Amino acid sequence: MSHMVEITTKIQGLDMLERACRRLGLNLMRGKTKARYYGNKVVTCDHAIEVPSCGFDIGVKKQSDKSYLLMADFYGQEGRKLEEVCGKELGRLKQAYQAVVAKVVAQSKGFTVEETKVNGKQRVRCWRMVQ
Amino acid sequence: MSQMEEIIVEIDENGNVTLEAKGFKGKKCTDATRAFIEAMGTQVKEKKTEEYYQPDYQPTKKKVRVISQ
Repeated sequence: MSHMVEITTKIQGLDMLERACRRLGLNLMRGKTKARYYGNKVVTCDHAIEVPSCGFDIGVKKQSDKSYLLMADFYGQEGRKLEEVCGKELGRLKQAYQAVVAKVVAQSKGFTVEETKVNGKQRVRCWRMVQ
Repeated sequence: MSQMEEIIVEIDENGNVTLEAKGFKGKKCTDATRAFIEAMGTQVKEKKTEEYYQPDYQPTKKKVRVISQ
């Protein structure tokens, strides 16, 4: 072992977010500027993620640093449905996003990639042979 | 002789990532992990181990036969 790093999630790529959504059975609706919240409330966003069989959406809002903020309402029955699919504080969606990013970066650098899930943790092993 | 360079990415259920680089010599591991860090988010902690401080190139010892005159 030579180096260990801890990283917090920052959503930076819409294509990769879309691939992460597909992994969880969600639909990223590009250009949909309204996300549904509790009590028929609607919030403005740049894109929205539809969660099948759920009356709430996840709002995706572009930030000044070009990253994306994910916004969601976990209140009530629909909120609980959303949490069941996407995890607490959208953790499962962030996890799927990071797995996609790791895979794409690794492959672009010539690594072979193997993905496994152990005790809720997603593990992406990347390796290559060098001279 | 070829050697294996390996990066293990572990993502917990909150989307937090631990990245571990193995088999890299010296600062090559920093270069290799940079692309991952930049694409994934913000680095919050870093731990460098002994292997990190090894030089990229280690000259091999050669056997020299000395012929006495």
